[in-house]
Amino acid sequence: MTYAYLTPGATILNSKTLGAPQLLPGITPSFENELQNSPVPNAGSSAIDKDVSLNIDYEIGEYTLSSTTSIQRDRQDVVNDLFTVSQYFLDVLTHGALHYDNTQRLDKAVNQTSEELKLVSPAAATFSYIAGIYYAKTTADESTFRAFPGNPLIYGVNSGTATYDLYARTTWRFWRELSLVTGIRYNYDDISYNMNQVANAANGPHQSAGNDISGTTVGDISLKKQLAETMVYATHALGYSRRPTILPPP
Amino acid sequence: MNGFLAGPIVPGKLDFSLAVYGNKTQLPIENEFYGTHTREHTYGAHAKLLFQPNDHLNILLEPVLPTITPTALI
Repeated sequence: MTYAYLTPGATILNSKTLGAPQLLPGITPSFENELQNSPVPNAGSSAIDKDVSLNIDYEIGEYTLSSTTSIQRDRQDVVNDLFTVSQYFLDVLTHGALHYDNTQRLDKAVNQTSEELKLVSPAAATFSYIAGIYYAKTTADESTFRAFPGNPLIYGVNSGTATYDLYARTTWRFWRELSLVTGIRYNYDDISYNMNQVANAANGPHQSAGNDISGTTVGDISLKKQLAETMVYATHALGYSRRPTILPPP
Repeated sequence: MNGFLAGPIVPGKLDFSLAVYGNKTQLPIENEFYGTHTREHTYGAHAKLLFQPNDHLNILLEPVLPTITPTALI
């Protein structure tokens, strides 16, 4: 059984809970109230982003070779004061036999490292192109910790994606201001997850893990007409939608 | 508070820019247990370093230093 809300002073499991005078001393709940009374010292949230990128452009004749390296480290930490009352009520109810700090923690971390190399040919030529390779590794981790004996929730989820891609785009100005533009890209994706639910009052412990690897080729072809100050495009493109879920191994 | 500084380190070869910002806001909710107000702090920095040793090579380093947004009821 999970209690989502308790009226102060209600009786549960043959025990009378603390009433409003004990839980909210000196506070009159109302829409205008701006006071609370809680011993939880660290309630709140923080978000920290640390990113860095390095871009190198190297000209070889009329060609340009570029490298873009990027690292992102993002983190969010949240501490919820679940009850916002003036005492650690479980300690009071059990006369110190049990301790619970009235909080729930939620921590998230997203990290990505990527590298792209591309070669760009002279744009003014009749035939020009961009060709490159791209690699990125992304991890997204989340954990929740609520050690409330009556309704615990403790779990961690880790997910990862590694992608290795090749791409090229060409422009052929074959007649006056008419150009044929083509693009092709090959994506190789390796995704995985791991879930470890240590405690959940409603559903119990649970563990699950899985991964999926796939390779996909997409492309597009366009006809472009350059007018005086505008351009006209006609494009046919082949896209794809990645499988949205990973099934755990049987 | 906001600040921005940019200029050459070695003229024609090495340039930089640095932007920093910080903001503190006190919000109305007061925790009588500690006598403190809810507050929000945001601060961070963004820097660029451009190195051009010759006409054919262009290197740009761009760190975004920690951008931190904590809100607390301490």
